[in-house]
Amino acid sequence: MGKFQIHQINPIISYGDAIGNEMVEIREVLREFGYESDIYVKFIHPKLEDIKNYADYIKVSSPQNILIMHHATEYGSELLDFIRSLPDKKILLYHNITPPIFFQNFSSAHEHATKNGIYELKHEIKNIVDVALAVSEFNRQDLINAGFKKTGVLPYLNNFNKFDITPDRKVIQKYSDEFVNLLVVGRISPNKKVDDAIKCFYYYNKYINSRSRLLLVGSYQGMDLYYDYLNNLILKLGLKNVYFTGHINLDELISYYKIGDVFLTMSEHEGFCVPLLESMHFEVPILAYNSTAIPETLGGAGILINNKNYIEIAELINLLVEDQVLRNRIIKKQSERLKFFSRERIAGILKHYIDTDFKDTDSK
Amino acid sequence: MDTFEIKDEEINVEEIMDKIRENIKKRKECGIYKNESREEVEQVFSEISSPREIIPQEPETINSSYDIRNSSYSISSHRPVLGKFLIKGRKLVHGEVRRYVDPALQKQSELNSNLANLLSDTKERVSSYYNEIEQLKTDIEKLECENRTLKSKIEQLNSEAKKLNIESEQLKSEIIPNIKKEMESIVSKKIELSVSKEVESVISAIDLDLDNKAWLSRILETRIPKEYKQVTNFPTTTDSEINYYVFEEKFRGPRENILKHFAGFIDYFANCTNVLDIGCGRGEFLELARDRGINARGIDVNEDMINFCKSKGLSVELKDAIEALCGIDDKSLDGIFISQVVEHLSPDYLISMLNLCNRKMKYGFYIIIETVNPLSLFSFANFYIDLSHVKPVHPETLKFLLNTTGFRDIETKFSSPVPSEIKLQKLPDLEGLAEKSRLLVGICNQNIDMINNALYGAQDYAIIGKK
Repeated sequence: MGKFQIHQINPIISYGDAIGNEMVEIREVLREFGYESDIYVKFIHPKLEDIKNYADYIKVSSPQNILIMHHATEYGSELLDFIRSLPDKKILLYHNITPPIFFQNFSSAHEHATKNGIYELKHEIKNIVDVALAVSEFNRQDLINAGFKKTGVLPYLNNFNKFDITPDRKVIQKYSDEFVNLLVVGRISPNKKVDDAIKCFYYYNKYINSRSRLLLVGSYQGMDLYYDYLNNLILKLGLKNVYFTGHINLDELISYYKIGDVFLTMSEHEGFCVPLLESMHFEVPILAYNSTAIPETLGGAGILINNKNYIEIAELINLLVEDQVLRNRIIKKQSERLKFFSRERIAGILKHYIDTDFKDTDSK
Repeated sequence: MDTFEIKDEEINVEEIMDKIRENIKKRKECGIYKNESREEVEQVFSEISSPREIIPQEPETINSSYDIRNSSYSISSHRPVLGKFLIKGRKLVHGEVRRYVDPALQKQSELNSNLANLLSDTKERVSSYYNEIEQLKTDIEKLECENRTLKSKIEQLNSEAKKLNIESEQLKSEIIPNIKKEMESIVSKKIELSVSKEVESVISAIDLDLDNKAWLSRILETRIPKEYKQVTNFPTTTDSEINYYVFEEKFRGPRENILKHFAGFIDYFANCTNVLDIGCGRGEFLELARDRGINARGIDVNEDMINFCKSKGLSVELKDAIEALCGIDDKSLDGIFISQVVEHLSPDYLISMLNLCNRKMKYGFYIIIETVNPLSLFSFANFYIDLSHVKPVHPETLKFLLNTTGFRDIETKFSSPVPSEIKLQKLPDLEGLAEKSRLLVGICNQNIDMINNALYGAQDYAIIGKK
């Protein structure tokens, strides 16, 4: 018996987003392990290469193969029907679906998609996949609640070597000065409560340090209403130093982390929160609201915010900027935590799953 | 639960929290945070995040999504061979379904379109109502604010009124007794003062009397010849002159009475600057003139009188009337007063004096000559009490003499009435008298009046003439 293949499938692969990055990384790891591995999707981002159309999967499909289904949004009946028809062993890698309530009044499309995604998870995917893995324990609970029997955790696989490229000079030139740069990284989405980050910054900027800026790093595409709302809030508060970067390239992202003094997230729903790992990597002290998967990802590193007391948060930002001892200690602890997410370690976990749970399972 | 959580044994979260609280306190003390408490901050943010700010579905979104017809649906298949048939089959089914579903979707889309328009219109209306409500709210706030100010003012006024009430009560209870006490003390002081003034005036009158008496005794002493001074037990009256001062004091009455009597004449000399009192006597007229600011001087032939007047600081000379008048420039006097003098003169002397008086006076000024009234039997009978009286002068005579010397507007004034107790008493008009008796009483009383006038007429008269 020849060696089985391990492929991945998802409705879409986007450039630079967490799931797209992980899919690419998993493929690399699997290839390194010696497996034949490809990514099959319905919609391919034009910037990405070496990605296959899902319809082509039929060519390699085999009961011995392992097909990893990523799930973060709606699949659609067409793709689900296709997957269902395949004889391969199917493994779910669940990235979490944002509760639709967050998109209410902001994006009916997202509200609709997430509702469908949850429905699919509970009623269809559950019956398709053989093993369900989640990127965090928090997400695994979702799977258990949805009725999945065989579940596990495979933390987010990240290759930090990808950051070893030349950062974008323009960003560094623009923002590398005596100003304190407060970073908020991630898609501009209502669940991430960027508005609360703006409120924290309002206090810090207005009452503590006017020579400071808030950099909102992430795409706001498809979130026009929320983006408008945030702009309105900034306008009403009379804030001048708040910048939306929009969608950016990797080198630009690196630059923002390089010039960032404090990383802040007030998000109320995260399945994993990859920017926390990035902040750890770039040694930016983390200040994060204690919700969903965040404390788990931080694993005791960084600073958790229990109450949204904007005045106190602003004061703590100030301490993190001014108290070098505190700052170094936080960064040190973050760096220790980062080892937990090393590529080798996560790849090892994946390998273990392949060798045990995936291998032993029979295709449904 | 602390706001922050740091799972690091080397970091003391409590210390960090203390530091944060201390910094906040400092900023509040510096006035940086002002009075913004967490609740107030939430209020600020919630205002910004009010539902109006988060517009659930902008009209653009509604307008772009009213058409629910699915135009993006495409039929494809991943199966290489079977796929073609599957696509054809699905297209057939799709066509059939569309034939049935499309009209319904069309209707629904139209309805959606209308609803979108309606919503857009409603939104505009709501927006204008909202503005109106906001305006009304601000108006109400303004009114409430004004109302509060008025209330506080009223309260302030009330409290001030209360304070005033209390203060007035205090004043009543505290000050009024004090005022009473002070009033009593002032009244008692005033009484003391007035008593002391009266005492002083009595004392000064006594002093004056004593002075006068002492002066008189000194005069009298000078007249006693040296050889007799040693034998005071034998007073004789070898000196033919009588002491006219003493005589006047006895028969003419005290100076105070004379001063009052002359007050009736002084107005004729108002504002005059050169008045001559011929026969000034004890200087009562001169004293009165001085008090009124009239410049007057006197002459008299009696040395005692002159000395007395000088002791009073009056301007007097011991001179005979004609001698004095001759020494005065013509038309220089603006007033002449001659009281109780003409009855002492001979007719020639009187006429010469009156002529001189006219000559020495300025035009338009007054001469007043007062003398004993011979028309009253009472004063005529007493005329010769004064030994120096030569003859009484009839009022008409004096009037005539003045007239002939060149004076005009001559008038006669009678004065010094006889006290009524000396006069004949009238019959009383008793009740119950018959009409005849009453008539008789009336006639009798008329007669008594006539007799009284003849017997007890005014004791003096004065002729006043103007040059």
